[in-house]
Amino acid sequence: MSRRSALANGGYGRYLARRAVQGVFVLWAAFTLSFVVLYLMPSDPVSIMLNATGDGVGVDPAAVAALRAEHHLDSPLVVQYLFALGDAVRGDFGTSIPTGEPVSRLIAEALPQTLQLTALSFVLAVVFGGGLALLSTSTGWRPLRQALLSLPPLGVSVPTFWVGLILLQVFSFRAQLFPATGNAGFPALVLPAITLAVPTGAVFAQVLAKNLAAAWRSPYVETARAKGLGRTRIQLRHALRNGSIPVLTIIGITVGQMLAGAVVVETVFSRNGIGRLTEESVAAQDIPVIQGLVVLSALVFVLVNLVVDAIYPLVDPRIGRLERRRVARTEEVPA
Amino acid sequence: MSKRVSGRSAQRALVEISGLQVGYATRSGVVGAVEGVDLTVAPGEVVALVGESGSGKSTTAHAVIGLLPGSARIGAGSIRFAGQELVGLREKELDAVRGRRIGFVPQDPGVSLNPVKRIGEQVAETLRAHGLATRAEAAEEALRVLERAGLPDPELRARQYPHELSGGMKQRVLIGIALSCGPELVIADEPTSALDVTVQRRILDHLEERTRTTGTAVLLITHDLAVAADRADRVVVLRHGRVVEQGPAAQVLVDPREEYTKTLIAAAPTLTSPRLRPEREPVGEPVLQVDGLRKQFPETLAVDDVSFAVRPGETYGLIGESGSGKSTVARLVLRLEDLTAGRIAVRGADVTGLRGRALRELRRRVQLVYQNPYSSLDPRFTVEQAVAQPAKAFGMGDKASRRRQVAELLDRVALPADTIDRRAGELSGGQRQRVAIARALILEPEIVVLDEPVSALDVSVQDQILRLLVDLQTERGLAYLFISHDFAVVRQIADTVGVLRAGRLVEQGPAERVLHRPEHPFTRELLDAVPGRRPEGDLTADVTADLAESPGVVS
Repeated sequence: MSRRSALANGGYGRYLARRAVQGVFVLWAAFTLSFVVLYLMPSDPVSIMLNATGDGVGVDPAAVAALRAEHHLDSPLVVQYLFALGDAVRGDFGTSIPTGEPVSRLIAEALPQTLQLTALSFVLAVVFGGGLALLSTSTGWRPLRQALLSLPPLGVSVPTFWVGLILLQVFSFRAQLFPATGNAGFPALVLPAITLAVPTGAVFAQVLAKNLAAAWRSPYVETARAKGLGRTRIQLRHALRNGSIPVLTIIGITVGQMLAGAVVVETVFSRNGIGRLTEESVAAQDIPVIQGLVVLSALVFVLVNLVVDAIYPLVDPRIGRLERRRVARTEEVPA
Repeated sequence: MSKRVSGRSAQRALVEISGLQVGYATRSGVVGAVEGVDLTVAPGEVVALVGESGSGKSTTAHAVIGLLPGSARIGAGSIRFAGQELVGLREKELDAVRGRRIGFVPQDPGVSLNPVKRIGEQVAETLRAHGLATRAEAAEEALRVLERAGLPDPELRARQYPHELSGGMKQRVLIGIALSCGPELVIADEPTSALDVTVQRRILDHLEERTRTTGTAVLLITHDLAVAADRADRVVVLRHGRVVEQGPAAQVLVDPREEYTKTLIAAAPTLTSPRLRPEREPVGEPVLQVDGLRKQFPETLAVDDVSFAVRPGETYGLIGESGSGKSTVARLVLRLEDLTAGRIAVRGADVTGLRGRALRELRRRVQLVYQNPYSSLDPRFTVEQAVAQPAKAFGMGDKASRRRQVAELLDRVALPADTIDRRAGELSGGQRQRVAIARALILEPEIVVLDEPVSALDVSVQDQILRLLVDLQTERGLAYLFISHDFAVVRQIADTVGVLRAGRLVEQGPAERVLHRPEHPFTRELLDAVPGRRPEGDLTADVTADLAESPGVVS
């Protein structure tokens, strides 16, 4: 009831603090869950370290014991967990098993590439997804509207790797406009970013178009029309702001999808980024790196949602209603 | 707007609708909503468009201001506004008329303002859209619009968002917007049907006063004959998209010529119309006894020390405005909500603390009929499934015996026998409410809680449902807890009346006594606000329109 006054009395800070605490909990849960799952897997990390095939043949027992002690693998699981958690809090996720490089350095090296990729594709997704939604609800010509509205479901359903391969075929091999692979500069970023933007932008377009259409059917838009406001004005000043509130919610969720999409896209375009690192570490059963990557994606997820939470009350003044909705949503988010 | 221009209709009409036909495109072809309506509104005149749901009154009004939904098509006819033909006008040309020359007051103020924009902006943008003010001027003028709308502290209101204003305040804002550009006509589409009766009166008074001072004509759409009688110079009665009767308000409502108008007037309950059954002195041990009922929600005390008793065959009418806690009382009595304090007894046995199995058994004895039969019945259920469900839940009888029982009940609530296999979605509102009543009766309860059971229905249907309830009560000796905001309805069937305000019973007693000799000032206020009580003299008084004050336009 008095959410607004709560906001006015510094409730905004408290609101964000509560979200931040929830975020820390999500991080802890992600770490714990991945620790339990990864370390209970049947493969033996020490065998992998000493022998890439992991079958444990011809390994020196003394070396095994030394490594076990070094990685606390001879301690009970709880002790191992507490050591790992303590290290993780300090940003130390151990070293990669095959290469011996610190996990934090591997991630730090790969992260900028992936950040560029996801940032650009996020911008593309918002611009083109939003544009498509606005266009489809603005046009009065039914066939065009139907055609535009059929694009998002198509974008969601085509596989990312396929889109990537088609783009490569057309724009790299035939037209030779963009390099096919690599990390070199902006041109190399364009095709991967478009590939990654397609499913995300399609979701944005679908949700926004649906909510814009709902806004156009609402009584407040009727009031706006009765005032004599033009279509464009109503679309931009009345429908868009209301229609974009659910999109904000979706943004928090799609970030996770973008990280997953990066695995495929970076593989297809041979880029060195978090996606590639994930793919390689999984193939090598490089458990410390995987653990670090899980916590990293949880961190990204938490940060993005914290930003969304911060923006929410600014877009929608009905904080009270939104609080409940937000709580409901946080519960759905996988840790 | 009372009766300003009795002799002025002969003048050049401001609005002239002739032969208007509007249809809605549906999957099964075009369904006609308006089928040849002719009507005129003179400058400064107040015309009430009266009809039940589906009469085409709202469609007609929306056609005038060019706000028909996408599926609607104007098939034929013309709408001339100040000499200009509106039918066939392009959107851009209509935009110059809408808001500037024709104002619109919507039905439900709760959803008719943009929830994420400040009130001030929403007022100012109309002035800006019509080039009547620059950004800075519009912001200033918006404050004056809000002030004229009777809102205290306009600077604060302008900064607030719609959810921070009450329903009545929101409607004042919308009236302010509608009048902000000094229109010649205001279309008010059921402007108060979503508001409480005391608020309704203040809003209608405000609208009347504002339009009278500016000489603005009003096309008032209403289902409420009493509102039309109080407020209009002329009344146009619509039915099935056609004009049944029109004429001066006093003549149409006091001395109607057409049969349909007569039935409509007869069906509408007023504070003076005859009761549906004589008031009875409640006798016997109470079947429902409530003592010191209290419900504390996190931020409000919804129900505070409410005590009353209902005896067999008695109807206890609980009256209150929105937020008074009347529905919470119903939920507490049904044990759908846990009480903070107090005691509920059914036939002398304390049921306050019942849980699990015993609570389920209580459900057999206390049943409920909701306000809105459109949402209280699953549209995919057949009527048989809907009505038989409580019996099935209690494992009563087998499928065949339950079907027999449902058939008997349907007959009892006067539904045709073939209704049993139809789906709720195919039925009308009145039929659905009959189904809901049958469903409440299948467990043969002793107490039926009726939460605004006729508020969502047209007056003629409302009358039938009330009569049905009275018959069923007489036949089965049921005790009714009848919850309503409408004094006129409650008065028709209640023996005892309790008036609830902010969670407290301010007054209770025999229905006629409370009605005629109310003791609490709030009861009096409620009674005074019931429309249809304007002195007769007012109906014929020709108040000269006061055109002196200029409409609030920034030039």
